[in-house]
Amino acid sequence: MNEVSTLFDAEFLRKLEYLKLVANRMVPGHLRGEHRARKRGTGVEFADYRPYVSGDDTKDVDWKAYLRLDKLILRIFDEEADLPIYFFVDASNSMAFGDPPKFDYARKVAAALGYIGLLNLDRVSVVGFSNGVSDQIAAKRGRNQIWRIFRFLDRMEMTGETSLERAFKTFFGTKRRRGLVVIASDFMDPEGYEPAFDFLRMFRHDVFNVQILTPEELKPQLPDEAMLVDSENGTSQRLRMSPTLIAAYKTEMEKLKTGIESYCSRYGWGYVQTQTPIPFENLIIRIFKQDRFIR
Amino acid sequence: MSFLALTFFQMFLLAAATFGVVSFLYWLKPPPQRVTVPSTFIWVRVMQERKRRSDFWRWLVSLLVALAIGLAIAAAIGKPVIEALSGRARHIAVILDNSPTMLATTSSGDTRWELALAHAHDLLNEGSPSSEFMVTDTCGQLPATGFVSRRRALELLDGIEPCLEDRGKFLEGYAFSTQHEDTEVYFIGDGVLVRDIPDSVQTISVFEPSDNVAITAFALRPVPAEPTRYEGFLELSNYSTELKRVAMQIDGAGGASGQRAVTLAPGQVLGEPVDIDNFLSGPIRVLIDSPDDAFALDNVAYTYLAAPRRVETVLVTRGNAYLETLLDLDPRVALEIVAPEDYSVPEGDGDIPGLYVFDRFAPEQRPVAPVLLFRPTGRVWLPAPAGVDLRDFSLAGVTSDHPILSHVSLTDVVVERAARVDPGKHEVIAGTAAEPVLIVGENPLRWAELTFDIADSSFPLQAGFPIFLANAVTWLTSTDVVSAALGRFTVQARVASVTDGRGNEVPTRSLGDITAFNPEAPGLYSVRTADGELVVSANLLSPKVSAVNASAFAGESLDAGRVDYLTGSVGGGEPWLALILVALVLLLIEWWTYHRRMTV
Repeated sequence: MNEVSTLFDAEFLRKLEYLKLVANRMVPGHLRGEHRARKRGTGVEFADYRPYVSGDDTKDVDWKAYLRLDKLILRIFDEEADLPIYFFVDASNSMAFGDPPKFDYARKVAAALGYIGLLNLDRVSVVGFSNGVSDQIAAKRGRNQIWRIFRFLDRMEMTGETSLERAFKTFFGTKRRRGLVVIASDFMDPEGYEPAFDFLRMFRHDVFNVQILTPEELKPQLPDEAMLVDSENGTSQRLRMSPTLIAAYKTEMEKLKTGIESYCSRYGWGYVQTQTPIPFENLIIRIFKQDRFIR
Repeated sequence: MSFLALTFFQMFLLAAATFGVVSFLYWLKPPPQRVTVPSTFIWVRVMQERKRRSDFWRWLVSLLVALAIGLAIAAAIGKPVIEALSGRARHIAVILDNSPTMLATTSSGDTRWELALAHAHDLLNEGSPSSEFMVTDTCGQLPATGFVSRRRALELLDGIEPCLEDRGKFLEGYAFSTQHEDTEVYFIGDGVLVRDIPDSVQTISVFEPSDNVAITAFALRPVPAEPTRYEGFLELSNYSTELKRVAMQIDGAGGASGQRAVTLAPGQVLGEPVDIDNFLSGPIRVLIDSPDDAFALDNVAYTYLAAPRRVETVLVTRGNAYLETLLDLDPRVALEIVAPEDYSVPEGDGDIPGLYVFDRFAPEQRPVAPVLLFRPTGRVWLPAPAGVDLRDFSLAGVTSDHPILSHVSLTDVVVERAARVDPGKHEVIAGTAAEPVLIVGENPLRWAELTFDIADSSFPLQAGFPIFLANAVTWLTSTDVVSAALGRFTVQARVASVTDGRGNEVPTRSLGDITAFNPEAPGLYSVRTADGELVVSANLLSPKVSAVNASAFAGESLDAGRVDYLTGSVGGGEPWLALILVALVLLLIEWWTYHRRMTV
């Protein structure tokens, strides 16, 4: 643990223990991502009947029903599955801003939620992304894996621009099991969040979005005339500040938030917005309180 | 290009310095502060939204501005009339009195004519830009043809000049109201020579009482008893309201001169003989001077003293004792009697006599000498016969101011038979135009025709006949000096050259068989034609013109006029100019917003 003391220091670990207690009290069930599998088959829990068709395994035929009804009827069982949780941590350059930086905040959130997931014996994957997948750690199960995840998160570095869609397409381009996708990002994607979310919907993942912003992003403090330089792509925008322009910016930020929120609400996804000065443990508790995260 | 305050080089330096300072201040403007932000993504969206909205408004404003510019220019091309802005469209006819009395000076130092022009300019600036104007005068310089624009009317106004001829009158033929019912007709004048103004015409008076002492007559005539001697006659008139002391200066050829001073009561007319015995042949000028005289044209008069001489006279007759005897008795006449069949045209210039007297005869061609005719035979150069002879009539009551009939009484003259002729445009000094008895003409050589044979009348038996004959000889042989009024003079010649008393060429106009020129100032003018030389003494010498205070507007104050014609609707600015200005301002606004969009 000494190796990762810069980010996940003793203070963080104490908060993690606290969250563990809170989680035990507030999360009696499972995280929402731990779904019963839709796949019918080899499980032991009866699910349903259906008519027999050629090719079905005859060992599942309900012979007692055949005797009573003179029809071949197949017994169907739910297949038990441990479904994965995918943590997507935004590692683009825009995450470097804030105090603490948004990137640190996102990593702590991922670490804390990952820890909770591992405690619940979920299979946890962590992905760093910017303009694609920058780094990832394969799915891990068991509480002992938390140190690997800490180390992975600690080593993660920021680079490039934000492209949610490209990251998801890269990651989910290979066969992945359906599960819970947790995204910790500022969602400052010039291409917008909608194409990325639409892509996730195709795979019927459950999604929980954590939008991390700095207070300066919500209430910009800029000189009267400024040349704004984009930290991700270096482009600049010359502006003459005015109250109406600031108001328009705030409106646009609010539109971004309400846009993401309404999208998530429409498809039963979770969403929280936080600011970097808010302690991350408070955010976690807020997340726990959301029924969209806990089943 | 020049500048009033600075030299060109100083102005160049100032412009360069201004350019440098302004450019430096712009260069000094600090660049915007560079601020690195997580992402300009939201800002870009804001700007796109604002740009979308501002583009719409810009498009809308630009459309409206472009429409306004286009409509303003279109409206300007149409030169709209907005009465509220530029006054009512009016039809104004201005009749300017440009008779000679308008040259009288007023107390302001301006002449009546200059005051009239100022009033006319005011009138022409009345009304809206679409108002139309007619400008005319009382001397016929500018006929009333039709309504024209303000600019054209002002040009026409500048072309009118005071007329020196005493023929100013209000022309009833002006049909101002026939073109536009709302025509306002204004007469601007002094009411002296043009008085009978119709009631429908609004008058603006420029009359102001003025002092004027005038030479109203100046003539030389031979002394009856001594035909080779001449005496001068001068008439002075005081038209002022005050007693005037007048200094007279008479100058003649060879340095002869004389001075006198007389005092004239208001309205007094003084006839004065002028002693010219010591004067040599040549020009004579009379100049008068009186205090505060407002009218200069009548302060000088010219005449020409012809050299007394014997006249070679050819009497062509078949025998006429009266004529032969009386002409022979005249000391100025060197008589030669010729029968009609012996008459011939002299071959050389030196053989031309000074006078022909044709008794019941006329040659086919006009002689190159003055001619006195008694019942001539019909010739093309003489008044044409016009029917049967006149018979048995009396000349009682016939009077004339013509020199030929000076001191000649025709009261007892009875004529048994006379030719009936058409005088044409020649002057009839006895009889009527239909039944002329004595006709005179100048073309430029003088001639006189008595339409009857003196043997068919009692005229030779009258006491006036010798005087008539002496007068005729005098008038006919003094053809080298002709008195004329100022303004216009015509001579019977296709081509003539005219010089004034200083030898300067005077412009002439050829009008078919006659040549005209304008004596614009009192003086002697020398006219040369193919037939010879003529001296014209042009003078005002008109009591009617010199009476500059005999105004129909007397008693009215100067400038007040009889109407207050300035309505206040002076069409100062024309709306189309304002529209062009609006278009320019809108263009500037559009230009400014174009540049503003670069920084938002």
